[in-house]
Amino acid sequence: MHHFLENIAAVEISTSIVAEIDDEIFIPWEAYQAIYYLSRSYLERSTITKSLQNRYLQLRRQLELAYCLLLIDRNSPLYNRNRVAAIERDLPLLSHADGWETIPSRLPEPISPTQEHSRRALDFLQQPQFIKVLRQLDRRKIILDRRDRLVRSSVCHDNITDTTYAQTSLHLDGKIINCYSEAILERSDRELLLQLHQQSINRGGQYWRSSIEFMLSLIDKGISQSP
Amino acid sequence: MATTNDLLNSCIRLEETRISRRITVPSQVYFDLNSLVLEDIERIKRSTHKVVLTPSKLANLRYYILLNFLEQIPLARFCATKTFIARSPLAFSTNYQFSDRRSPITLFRSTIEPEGKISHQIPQQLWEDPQLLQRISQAHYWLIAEILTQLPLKGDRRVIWLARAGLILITILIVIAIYYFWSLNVWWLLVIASSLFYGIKIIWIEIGLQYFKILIIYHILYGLLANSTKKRQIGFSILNSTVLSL
Repeated sequence: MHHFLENIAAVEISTSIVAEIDDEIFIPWEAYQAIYYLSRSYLERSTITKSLQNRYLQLRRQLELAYCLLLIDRNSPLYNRNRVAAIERDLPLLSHADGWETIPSRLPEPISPTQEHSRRALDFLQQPQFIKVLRQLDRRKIILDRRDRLVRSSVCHDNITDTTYAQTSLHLDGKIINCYSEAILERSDRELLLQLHQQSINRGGQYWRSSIEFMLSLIDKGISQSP
Repeated sequence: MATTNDLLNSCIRLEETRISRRITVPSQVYFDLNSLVLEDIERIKRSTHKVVLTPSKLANLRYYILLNFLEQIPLARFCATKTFIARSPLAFSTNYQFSDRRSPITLFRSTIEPEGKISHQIPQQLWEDPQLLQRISQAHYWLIAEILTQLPLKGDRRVIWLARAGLILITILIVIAIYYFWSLNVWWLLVIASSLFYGIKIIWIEIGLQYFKILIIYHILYGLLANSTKKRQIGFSILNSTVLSL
C-alpha cells in the first residue's frame, strides 16, 4: 500500500479556459517527430512568437533528458553500459535551460536513411516510461501552439484563453503553492475565475482520493482489515 | 426510483477504442446532457438521491481506472511485462446538446493523471454564460463524484463468514487428526489449534490472497477476463469476494 504513493509528492490541480475542448489524439510517432525537430535554428526560421521560442526549446531539452535517463537506468530495456559515463558527464548541462544545445543529441532520428536508426526510434517508442514523458511534452506543445496562435492573432493582453490561468499544488508535507496567470490580475471577472478554480481544487482533491481508495481496495483490503 | 437511476445511467457513456482484434479498452467517460437531463440531475441532487451504476457500467469503469492507474500499484511490473497498453489520463467530459444545434458540444472536461495531476477545462463559450456554467459545472462535478465513490470494492459479508467457517473447519480437522495419532492432552491441543488457526490465516492473507488477486487482476487486464464486459464483471466480483478480514 505504501508503495502506492512513493512517487507522488504533490497533487497538482489546474484550471483553464480554452477556445474549445478537442479530443486529443496522441500518436507517439507523430509527437516524437514534432518535438525532435525543434531547434534554435528551426524556431528562428519559423513564424513562432519570439517570446515562446525558448519554451518550445525546453520541450526538446526535456525529451533528450528523458531519453538519456532511460539509457542509464539499469531497469530500463534501453540501458547501455557503454554510454553511462558520457551521459552522466552531460547530465548537469541537460538539466539546465542553457548550454545543453552544445551536447550532441543521442535521440534516434525519426526519419533516417539507415533502417537501423528508424527501427531504434520505433523500438523505444514502445517504452511505457518514455511514452509517459512524451505524452506530457506533447500536451504542453499543444498548449504552446494554441498560445502562439493567440498571440499572433494579437488579441488583448488580458486574454487567458488556452492557457492554464490557475494552478495549485498540494504537497504531502502540507505545503500549498498557488500559481496564477498574470493576465487574470487585470480582468474584471477575476473573482469568478478564482471561485471556479477553488471549486476545481475541492473537487480535484476529492477525485484523487476516491481513485486511490479504489486502487487500494483492489490490492490491500485483505491485509489492512485484518486484526 | 428505477426510472431516475436509468436516466442517470443512460447519460453516463464510456467511449471505447479497439486496440486489438479481441480487446477494446475504455478511453473516455462522457456525460450526455441536454436541458431536460440537466433539470433532472438538479432535482435528483436536491433530493439527495444517489446514482446506482449498473453492474456492467461499474465493471467497465473499474476496468478503465485499473488500466490507467496500474503503474501506481506494486503488481504493475508483473502485469506490464506481458502486454503494452498505452496509459492515458482518466478523462470525464460533459457533452451538452443545445436545442438549436444539430450536434452536442463538450462544455466541461476533467482529467486525472495517475501521477497526481488533475486539470479542468472550460470552453470560452461556457465561460461567457455564467448561469449555464454554474449548472453544468455542478452537474459535471456531481456525476464524477457519484461514479468514483462507487468504485472501491466493499467485500461480501457472506464470503467472509464462509471463509471463517472454512478456516475453523480445517483447523478442527487437523486437530482431530493430531489427537487421533498422538493423543495429546487438551492444553497441547489448544496451543496447536490456535497456532494452526493463525498460521493458516497469515499464510492465506500474506501470500495466497495477494497472489490470487494479482492473478485475477492480470486476467482482467490481459487474460481470460479481458475481452468482454461480462467477463470483467466476473473478475471484479471475484476480487470483491477477496476483500475480507478473517
